[in-house]
Amino acid sequence: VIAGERVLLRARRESDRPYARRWFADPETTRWLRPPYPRGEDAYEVSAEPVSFASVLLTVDDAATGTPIGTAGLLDASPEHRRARAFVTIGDAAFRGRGYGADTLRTLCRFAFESMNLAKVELAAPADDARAVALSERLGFVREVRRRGALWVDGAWRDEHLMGLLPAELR
Amino acid sequence: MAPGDAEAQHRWLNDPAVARYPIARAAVAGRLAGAGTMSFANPRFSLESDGTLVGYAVLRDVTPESRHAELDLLVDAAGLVTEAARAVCAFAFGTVGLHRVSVWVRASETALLAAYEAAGFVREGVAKDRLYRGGRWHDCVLLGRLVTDAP
Repeated sequence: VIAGERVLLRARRESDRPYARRWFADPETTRWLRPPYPRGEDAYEVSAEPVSFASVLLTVDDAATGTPIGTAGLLDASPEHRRARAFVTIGDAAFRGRGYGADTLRTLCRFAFESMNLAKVELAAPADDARAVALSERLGFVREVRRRGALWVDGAWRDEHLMGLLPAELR
Repeated sequence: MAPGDAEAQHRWLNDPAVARYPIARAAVAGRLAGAGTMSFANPRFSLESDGTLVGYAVLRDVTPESRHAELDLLVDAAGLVTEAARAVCAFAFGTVGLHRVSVWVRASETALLAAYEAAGFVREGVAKDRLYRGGRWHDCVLLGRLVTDAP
């Protein structure tokens, strides 16, 4: 278990699936997620393999109650470039806008640097997803690349920020 | 791409400036044999100039919803990058139906950056320390070209 201030990041388990089904049934959760298709319980990837450098797929628990509230992880970790792509989704609406997402992302990045020995964490945020952009900037992420027209969401082409974080920049 | 391209590809891919790990001729040949037919998800070309094989181009990670692809382009002869990139984009936009093609270039490779810009690509930003090679970190520039950009 990776402990934040108010969240615990842990390996996923089968019993997370009913929670995941509710998270991904909420349009607020899925609006920016690609691909855009409805997800059933089976779509929540619970691997038989242990969490490893190549695949960090976690469930986020509210530390106070032990309730699963979302999902987080690091994808496409490259051992040579020592870089990975982070994602965080707080799926339980009751826990949004209260700092759980920031605590999750900060805890995840700290783990990436301090335990996985990564040198950079990247994050893709839709330019129109103001909350995701502001949250990652508050933590020290820098808007490095604006990928023009990289996303098709709600019937329009939208830009995507590629955000980057180096270890010394994490706040 | 065809199995006959293995010899040249093997030579290029063993240039330390191009690839990190040495690769055996058999591995290159095996990859070419398994490349399959061209399709929406798998557009790949060998590039010829005056009948000589000069490089290859692969459009990676093509997704139908975002109609985007990332370009891997290797050209043996200097001065052909612009023309090759233009030709690949014409196919990507006109035949595959893509909306966007992007390519990563090291920030220090100014001639290469200029070659892509001459082909209509736009610099979209610099990612710091994105690549580790030759004992140090390199910044990388992402260049993107949209079907709606000026040719």
